[in-house]
Amino acid sequence: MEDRKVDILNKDGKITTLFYMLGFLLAGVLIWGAIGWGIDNWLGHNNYFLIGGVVLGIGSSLYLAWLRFGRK
Amino acid sequence: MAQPGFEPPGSGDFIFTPIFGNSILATKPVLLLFFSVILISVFFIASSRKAAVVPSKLQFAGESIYSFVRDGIGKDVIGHEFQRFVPFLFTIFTFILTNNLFGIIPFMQFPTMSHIGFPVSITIFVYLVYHYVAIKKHGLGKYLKDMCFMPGIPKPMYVLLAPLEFLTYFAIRPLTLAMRLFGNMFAGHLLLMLFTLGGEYLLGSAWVIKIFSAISFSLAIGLSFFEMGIQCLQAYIFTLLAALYIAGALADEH
Repeated sequence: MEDRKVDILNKDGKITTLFYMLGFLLAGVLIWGAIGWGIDNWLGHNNYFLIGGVVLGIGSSLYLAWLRFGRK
Repeated sequence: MAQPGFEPPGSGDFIFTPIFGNSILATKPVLLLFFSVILISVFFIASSRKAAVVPSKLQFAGESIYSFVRDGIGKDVIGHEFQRFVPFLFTIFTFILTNNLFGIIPFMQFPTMSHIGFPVSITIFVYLVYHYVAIKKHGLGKYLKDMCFMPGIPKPMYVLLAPLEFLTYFAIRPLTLAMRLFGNMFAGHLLLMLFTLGGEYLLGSAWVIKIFSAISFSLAIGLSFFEMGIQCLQAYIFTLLAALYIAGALADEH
């Protein structure tokens, strides 16, 4: 089942994979950045959590992209 | 300044006043939209009305567009259930393609899709279709569970990945789908306007500078052909991604 999924997503070569990965990156940065920004506003304005959230978002979206397209 | 300088085109050039009356429905983009619907209908009715085993040139043209969408996008991407989505995909493809191509056809010269409202409304249909298909096939609970919780990864990772997947499906996908089409058409039209208006402006200068006007005009013509490629490509990509989202909704396991 998992193979079929990966197969569908990779069907038309690299361009759609690229769009998927861009979507993941955008989603990761937005959601974890927003959570970090919220914590910053709650605790006081020092922006450390915002930076941490963005980094975490990039990391998790790359991990997700690897799960979807890189893993065998 | 002694002379008024060149005024570059901007987003203000995308705002049209109504051609007749006061209604917003009588502006150029809306009229082009209606015209495209008539054009597409007439073309495909004419090409399929006298269908024969040995096709005429018109029938051949209509059938090759149809089979391109059916086999190249529908069958290849969606798989065995593709047949019921072909009308939807075909409509999207021809509609976007025609409206994009208006951008380089003389006297029309405005891609309808460079107004954000039009891509957004098509995207709303795609959004409703792929969620509806998935919920009907899997049920809402299983759909959300499959979407957010991918099997075979360590449990703590779900905290990181579940919100990300959720946002991808419900916000990022429609957003990027609409923005990609809008942005490409907007930028392309702006580029063509820049070189055309620039050439026109340079024409009013001293004769040495008129040479550069010729360069500007020929660039505008060259870029028009380049734009034609982009316009076809964007219509294709929009339809391809719509098909991919439907295929993802139909897949047994997320």
